[in-house]
Amino acid sequence: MSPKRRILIADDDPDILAMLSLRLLKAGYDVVKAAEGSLVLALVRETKPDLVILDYFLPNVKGDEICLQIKADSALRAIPVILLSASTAALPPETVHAIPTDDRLTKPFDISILLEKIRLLLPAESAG
Amino acid sequence: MRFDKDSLWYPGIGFAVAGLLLAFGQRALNRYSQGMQRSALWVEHTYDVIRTIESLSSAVSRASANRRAYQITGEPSYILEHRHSAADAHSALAALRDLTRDSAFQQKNVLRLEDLVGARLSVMDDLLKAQARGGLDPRKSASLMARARTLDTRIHGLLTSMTRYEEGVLQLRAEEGQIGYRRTRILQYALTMASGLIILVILLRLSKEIADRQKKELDLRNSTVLMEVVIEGSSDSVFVKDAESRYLMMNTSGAKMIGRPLDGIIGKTDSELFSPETFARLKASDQEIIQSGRPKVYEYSVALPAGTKTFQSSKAPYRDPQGKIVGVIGIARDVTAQKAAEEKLQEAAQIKADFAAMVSHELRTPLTAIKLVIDMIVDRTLGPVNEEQNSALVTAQRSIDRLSRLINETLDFQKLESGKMEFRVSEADVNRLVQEVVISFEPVAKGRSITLLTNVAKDLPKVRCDKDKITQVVTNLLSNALKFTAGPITVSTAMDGSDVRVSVKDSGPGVSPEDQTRLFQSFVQLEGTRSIQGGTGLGLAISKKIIERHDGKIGIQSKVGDGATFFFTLPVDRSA
Repeated sequence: MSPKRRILIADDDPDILAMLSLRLLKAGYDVVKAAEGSLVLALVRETKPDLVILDYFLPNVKGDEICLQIKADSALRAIPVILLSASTAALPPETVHAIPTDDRLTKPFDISILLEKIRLLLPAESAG
Repeated sequence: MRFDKDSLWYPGIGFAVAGLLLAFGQRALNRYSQGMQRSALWVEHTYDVIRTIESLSSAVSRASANRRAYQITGEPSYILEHRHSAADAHSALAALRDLTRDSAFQQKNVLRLEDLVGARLSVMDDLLKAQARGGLDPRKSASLMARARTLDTRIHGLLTSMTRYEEGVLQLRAEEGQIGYRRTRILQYALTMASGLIILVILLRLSKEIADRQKKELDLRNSTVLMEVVIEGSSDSVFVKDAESRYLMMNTSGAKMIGRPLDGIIGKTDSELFSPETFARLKASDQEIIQSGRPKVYEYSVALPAGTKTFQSSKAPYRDPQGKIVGVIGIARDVTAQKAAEEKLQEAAQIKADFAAMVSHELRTPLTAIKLVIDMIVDRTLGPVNEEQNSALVTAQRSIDRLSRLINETLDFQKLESGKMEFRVSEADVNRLVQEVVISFEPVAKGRSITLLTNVAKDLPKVRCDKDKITQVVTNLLSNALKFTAGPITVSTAMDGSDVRVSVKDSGPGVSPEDQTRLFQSFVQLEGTRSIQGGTGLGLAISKKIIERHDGKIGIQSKVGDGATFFFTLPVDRSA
């Protein structure tokens, strides 16, 4: 049996965090939750997830900063990052588009679309 | 009132000519009067000659008479008288000779007269001598008498002809004098009238010029007064500075703006009126105007006793009549209030933008959670769901989607309104874009048994546009069409002049002309749409703004009962 894939979800809204992680668990993934920006990077290093789902508007450290840090770290660079954003209206578009995520989704989103994106981004399971 | 030398040349010449004419006239008159004088002298002379002739004649007669008297009476006194008379005759002759010196003709006559008179007197002498000797032989005396008579006749004839000659000459002179007089008078009148006319014309023109100049001066004074009224009446500051930024002139409003009396400003420079920083800025802008020779508008924040105020100052070069720049003219306006208002507006706009962003974020977050939950239940992740439950939840999903769209559209609309919507332009294949949207709607259309047809033009040129936004517009039009109709919908592309045209034609109830004008306004929904799928009323308004930002046009062609064709155009050669 192939090991469960681990996904780290970072969102400051408790309901979204709870429901999304429930859905992912039901989908067969292992879930790590984070509600605060400053914890995410440490948590990523510690738990080594296969994919990270980041909300943009996190307290203390914003999603874009975290994404940059992940991608700057050679040990973590390979981890795919999906950025969720409720609104980037306050930011200039160049800033938004410059964030080096592997994919992005605006809230509210279709869960089936998110699941599909996750599937596409996760590396193929090794045989055997 | 001054006259410049240019305007004085012609009256000068005119007067000179008139003067010359008068001088000629006067000269003619002088010559005439000189002529008159000469004539008078001639007349006198002629009468002198005539009188002398007469006195000669009378002297000779008296000499003869005295001789005869002596002959008869023998009185010696008669001989004395005779001698007196003879002497008179000689002096008369001498006088005549003298008088007729200028006439060769008369001189000849006088010479002959001398001979004749001399001969007559000698006859008298002979007779006297004979008488003194005791009597004369009657025959001798008879021949002497005869000779005397002949001589008398000839003398008399000569004297007469000489007199007539003199009278003739006199007559001639008189006639000449008359003609000369007439001519002179005519000339004099002509010249006087000519010069009079010239003077009159000059005077008329001069008086007209004086009147013109007076009017011009009056007009100038009036327009000067008007200018002064305008400058003084302006609520803006109007001022003039020289090249050293010294105030030459300022109106009352300007003095009030600075907060000083006018006499405390005129003649002073900005260094004496404002702080060093303000002075430096004002001087710099004055110098810029003087160097460049071009007008410019400046804005300054100045600390005044009444508080810090912002001024907008339009400055221009002040040129002297030769065109050399000698200072600066300016109009300054207190825009403090306006600037404050502008800042408030900008603040408000920023608040609005921030608010919209915040609100949409706040609204989207719980909506995300709700959607996650409902979707999760509907896709049976949390266990079985019965038919009823499923139906209910699907309804909830629709509302969630609608709410989500509403939030998106509101935010889009706000961004477009405030100009903060970013457009990412690239080359787009319109046909492909349109076909993608149609494909995405196929499930919905199939579910409602509506036929979607596409009719794309071949060889449609690529268009530079924001693909996402144009897709949004096509989606909006197609979704509207699906709301309005149960029949076929045709999406087509074509060339329209130099534009690419996309049309969505439905077979619905159509839109009346009155409704057509309201369609693209925000929050307008037409009858019959709310019941079906519900719109936000912003879709078309947003589409319109997007198309207009692309320099395109959006519109509708429709007749009630005959469906509607919504279309938009995008220019092909658009310099993005």
